[in-house]
Order: sequence, then structure tokens, then C-alpha cells
Amino acid sequence: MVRILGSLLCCFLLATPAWAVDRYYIGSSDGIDVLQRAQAHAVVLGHIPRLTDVKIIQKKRAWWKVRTVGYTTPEISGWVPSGAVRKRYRATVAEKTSNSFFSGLSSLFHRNTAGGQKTAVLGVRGLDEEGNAAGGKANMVAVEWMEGLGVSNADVAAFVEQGRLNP
Amino acid sequence: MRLSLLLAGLLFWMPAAMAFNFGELGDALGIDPDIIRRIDQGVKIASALIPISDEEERILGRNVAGRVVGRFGIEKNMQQTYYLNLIGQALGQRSDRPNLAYRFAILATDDVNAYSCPGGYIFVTRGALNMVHNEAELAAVLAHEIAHVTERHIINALQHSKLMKVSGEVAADAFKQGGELFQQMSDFATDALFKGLKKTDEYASDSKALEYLDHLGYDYPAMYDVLKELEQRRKQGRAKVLAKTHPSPKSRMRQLKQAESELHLDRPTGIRLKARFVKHIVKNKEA
Repeated sequence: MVRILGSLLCCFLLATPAWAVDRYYIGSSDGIDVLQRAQAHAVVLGHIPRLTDVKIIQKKRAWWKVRTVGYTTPEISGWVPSGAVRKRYRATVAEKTSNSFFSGLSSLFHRNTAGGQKTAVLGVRGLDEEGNAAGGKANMVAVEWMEGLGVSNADVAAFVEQGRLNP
Repeated sequence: MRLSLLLAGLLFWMPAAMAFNFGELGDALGIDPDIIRRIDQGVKIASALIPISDEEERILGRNVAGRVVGRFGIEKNMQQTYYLNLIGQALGQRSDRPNLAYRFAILATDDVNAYSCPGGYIFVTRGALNMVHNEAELAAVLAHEIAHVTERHIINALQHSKLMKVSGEVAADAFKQGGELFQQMSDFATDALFKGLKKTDEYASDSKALEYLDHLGYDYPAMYDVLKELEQRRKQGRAKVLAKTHPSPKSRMRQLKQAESELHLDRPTGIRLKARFVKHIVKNKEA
């Protein structure tokens, strides 16, 4: 019985996507409107100010369903463009191993993309703390930085208006 | 009857059929070799057109973007990058694929070039940023790169490559799980970026860029000014990388002129926004 429960626990920990445990926050300059559905013209449920911690509940293409975390704001849950959300910190492999042996083990063999998809890496030796092949050419940390630059639709609209371009 | 049986069998057997020698099967069943040849061609065409969804494209593009940044490095200049994103996203929203999440960044190299990865990851080099004189010219560079994404040039090339002569399930699995095929697809896309796309793709992107500039209201002749500047640099031997990956600016201008007459654009607006460009780019240059 204990073995069965243990196996189930292992499966659960290995299957948990990293975005479900990592910490995120709203990075766009003037916060972001939370929408009822993953569509640009969906009903606005509320507004999350910049730098508010959020938890990612679900991912759907370029839209992420988030819920506010902490006590500073009333809890809001809804869809936001993925570009508005930034990762608060990314645990190193060593940290993950110390937090949870199984999730650490899982992270050694998989690298998460922003879409929550897992990309298999070929081996453990030579991986840097971000899970990239050490000495390899890819720089996914810089790509994450690029993705974290939240430019909201409101920012773009204001920019267009200021330049007297076509709205 | 034998032919219909063969066709019915193939429908259930498509993935394996791609690697199958139809000639031998035809001989065994006594079917006309010409019919067998046509079936063989049909299967090859079907295998070359495996659809790649927007999300799969983004996953691939993200991986390719990592390699591009890995090669050149990224300029973490917040003000400049934010400005770049404002222009780029305004253009992206008025493009043929307005729902893509376009992202823009500056590559830390003085080469004059720009790269667009599938899925909307777009890079402009520091050299290109230093070359343009105003916002409309910068928008022209970005619009050209956005057009490569909206026209799915790399994805089309990939779909017609030998790599995609696999079953739809295998391809879909590669995007979901990663692995060797996914890495090979990324290699293919990165190669296409660094070695250059087809000339016709470049011309098509120029025409689309003109259209996007016009949609947003920038002074679209800025596109010609960028090409003129490139031509000047090419003559001086200062745009060697770009010369390798793009057709000559002169031929691009010729093609563009021809396309312009067919585009029915509005009259040029004269909006170049030099002051805003100077404020965000020139004054934020890092030493």
C-alpha cells in the first residue's frame, strides 16, 4: 500500500509543470486588465497593478490564466496576455533538488518553455543552472528577459496616438 | 477493385507508406506503374504539408530565438527595447497575423541586420539601430521582419523540407516533447535565418512591409530610404553580413517600386517621428 502511494506521489511530482510551482508577477508598466476569457475583447474582471505576485493556473497559447497571490490586493483570477507576466525568480537545479528531490530530478531532464511545453534535454552533464547545455549556443535566459518586457495594448494605443498614427 | 483496395489500405497506413517502395507493391499486384507513381507523388505531397499550428510555431521560434541570442548576445537596454516593442507591436497588430505575441529585442552586434524567428521573436542588431535616422525607418526594418513571420517563410520552407516527411503525429509529438526531430527543425530554421531566405521571400516581405507601414500611417517611402542607405553601405563594404543574406538593395528597390503600383497605398503621410526616435534611441545609447 505504501509503495503504491509512494509511486503515485512520484508520478504527481514528476508530472507537475514547473510554471505551476514557479513564482510570477505582473511586469507590464501600468499593470494589466484581467479578462474573463482568453480573448482581447473579453469582459474585464478587474485590474492587477504592476509588480503584483500571481500564480499561473492555466496556459492557452499567448494567454495565461492567473490568480493574484498575497494579501495586498483582493484576490482576482482571470486571463491576461502572457507578455504581461514575468517570472519572479527561477530556482536553480540545486535549489529545486533541495526543495523536492523528485521535482529536481524532473527538471534535470526537461526544460520548460514559456508555453509550459517541455523540451527534453539530452543529458545532465554540462547543463548550466537554467537547464541549458553549458557551452551551448542557446541563451534561453535572454529570451525569458525578452518575453518579460510587458508592453500592454494600452501602452501601444497611447504610443500610436501620441505619434498621430492610424489608430 | 485492386486499385481501390490499395487506396483504402493506404489511407489507414499513411505514416508507414511514406517510407514504402510503391514500385515493388505495384509490381506484386500487377498495377500500372504510372498509377503507382502518381500515388507515390500524392503521398509525398501530403507528407510535405503537415500543418504547424501557431503554438507549435511559437515553441520552435522560441528555441531558434535562444540560438540567435546565444550567437550575438542581447542588449539589455530597457528604454530602447521597450520603444522597439511599442513600434513593433503597433505594426504587428495591423499585420496579417494580429493575434501573435510579437516580441522584439536588440542584438549586441554592430553588423547591420535583423532576424525574425517563427512565432514572432524579432531581433534588430545594434548596427541596424545605429543606421536608421527616424522612427519610420526603424518601423520599416521591423515591418519587413514582421512580414517574414506573417508570411510564414521559415515555416513554409520547413514544411517542404525532408525533415517534415514524417507522419503528422510524429511531427506534433516533436513539438510537444522536444527530442532529436525538434532540434533538427530548430537547426533548419536557424540555418535559414543565418544563411538567408529565398529572394522571392525577401521581395514579398518588402512589399508587405510597405503595406504595414501604410496601415499604421508611417511615411512608407522611409522603406526606400533604408534600402538606399543599405546600398550605400554595401558599396562601401560595410554591410557584408546583410549582403550575404539578402538580395541587393537595388534589386529590392526595383521590385518594391513594381509592387507599390499594385498595392493602392494612400498618399505618403510624411510621418517620420525623428524627435521621438532621438529621445528613445539616440539619447539612450549606452556608452
